[in-house]
Amino acid sequence: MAPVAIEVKDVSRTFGPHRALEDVSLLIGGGLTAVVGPNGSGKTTLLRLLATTERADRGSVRVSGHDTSNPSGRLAVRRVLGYLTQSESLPLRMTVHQYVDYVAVLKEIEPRPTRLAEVARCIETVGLGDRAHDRIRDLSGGMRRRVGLAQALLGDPALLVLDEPDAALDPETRRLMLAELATRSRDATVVVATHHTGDIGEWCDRVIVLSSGRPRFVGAPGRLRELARGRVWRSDEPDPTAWHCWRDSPRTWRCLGPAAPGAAEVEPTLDDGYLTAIWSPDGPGGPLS
Amino acid sequence: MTSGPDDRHDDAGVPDRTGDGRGADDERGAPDMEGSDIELLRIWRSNHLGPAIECRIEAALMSDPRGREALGGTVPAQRLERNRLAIMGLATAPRRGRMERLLVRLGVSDSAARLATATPALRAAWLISTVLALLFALATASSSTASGLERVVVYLTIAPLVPLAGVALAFGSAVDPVHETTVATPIDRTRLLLIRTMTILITSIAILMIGAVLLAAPAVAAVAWLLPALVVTAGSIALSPRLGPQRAATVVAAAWILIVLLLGGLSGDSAAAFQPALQVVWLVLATLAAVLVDRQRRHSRYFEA
Repeated sequence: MAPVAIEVKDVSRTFGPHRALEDVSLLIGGGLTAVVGPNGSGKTTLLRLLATTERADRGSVRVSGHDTSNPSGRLAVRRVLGYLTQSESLPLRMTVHQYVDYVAVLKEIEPRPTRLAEVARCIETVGLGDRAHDRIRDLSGGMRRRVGLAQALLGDPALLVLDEPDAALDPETRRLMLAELATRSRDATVVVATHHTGDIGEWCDRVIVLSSGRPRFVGAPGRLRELARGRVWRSDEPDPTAWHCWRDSPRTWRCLGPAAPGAAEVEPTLDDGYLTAIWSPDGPGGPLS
Repeated sequence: MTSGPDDRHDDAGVPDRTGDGRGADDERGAPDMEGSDIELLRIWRSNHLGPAIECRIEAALMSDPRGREALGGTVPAQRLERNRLAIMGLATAPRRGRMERLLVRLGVSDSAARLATATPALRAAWLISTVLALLFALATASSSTASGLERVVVYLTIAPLVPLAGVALAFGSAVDPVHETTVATPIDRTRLLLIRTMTILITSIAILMIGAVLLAAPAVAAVAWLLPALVVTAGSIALSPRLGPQRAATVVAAAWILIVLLLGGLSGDSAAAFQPALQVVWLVLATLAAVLVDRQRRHSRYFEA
């Protein structure tokens, strides 16, 4: 499978009075792209649009040139799509194998021997080979998340859209999963919504920071980190001139904002870059990059 | 999609499995192999086997390091691994359930049998419609206030709505825990809806027939609701692409009750909607609705709830 190119153009989506996305324009190519942002920033809506389960009120979403606003375009996208919903409620009475096999049928993987081989492969990939015949209700939250991931991997999709696949995973499993996604992203387009900004630098090629339904930053993780350079310092007490201060040790505060002369500037982290993108008043309503 | 275990000739490009130019009688790839394995390799190289037997032989040879070495020189490793997974997949897959086995034996395709028996939403929808059907049949049969004819008319009016409710429930986010995942797959949604509809219809009809017996209804009355049931169900499916399954079912159900009341009021016969002449009308309407659904399916396989 070759990676797909995604073009989101002037997309807006509202739910009643809440504007989930507002005039969003993005280009996403192959590789691993992380979508980060506070709760309610529009991450899930954006991913649903990419996964064709949601439609934009305005604007267009094209995947490999296929316009998802028309049925044939959506079908073309679904043929190359692996999708993990944010809160995939699994049929608890089914076994892992039954459920993944059921989705394999929905994905029209045929004939049966091929389908079963693919089911076995995906269950193995997420490390649930020895629990394949257990009922989903008997699995932990993290394992259930991996069941969801297994169904998303079926058919070796060229486009993987995963909404918080790392939720409820222990750090070791999370790293294994990210390694697997990074490997897949060499030949596919992988878009992952996450709250673990710390993982981004190591695994992702691209970051999209969303806030209030608008992209505040789009670019490489290194550039996101650089966004905070000169804007992070340590002090013994909260600095009223900072956008925000938080304890980073029992005795010191980490402050973010326009650093005053003489402030003890520190090397920024990705978290600092992310918070800068969220809180910075620079470029209101538009991306900082 | 991934390739199957039977694609070895496609992958190799030519049917000659030796690939590297070695002849069928050349055993150089297996200097230390057991006699039985050499025999397997020879059979495998004979090039006259079906894919299933070929895959099994490959799997047997791959269970031994020397066999893997012998095969490795002649078959792309990727294909061998895929075939190994295919066989492992078949070997480790749980046995099909009774109902699924029965459907497959009756000629239903493997995927349709799986969808009919494994759909998570179907269990809830089936359960609800079954319980509704049973309760309704029992309530009507035990009613002491209504006359015999009134009970039959009420039964005939409500009975078609039971499978309709089941169908509406079988395809919606409210009862389907994996609705969003399903929507994101390329499955033909009309086919999915029809499979679910058939499953619900068959079970509901069987139960409603029992209800009719409980009601001690005349033989004709016991089946007079069947065509209306087909009309409302097919009509609901036809409207679903525009209105969504639940709203379509509600609209059709309301229309059906209104029609029964109107026909009863106009003719003075509360059972007018179920008379033989009207049965012909229901048959025509059911056919029209079925044709409409079929046309929708032909023109667009993108039915979306």
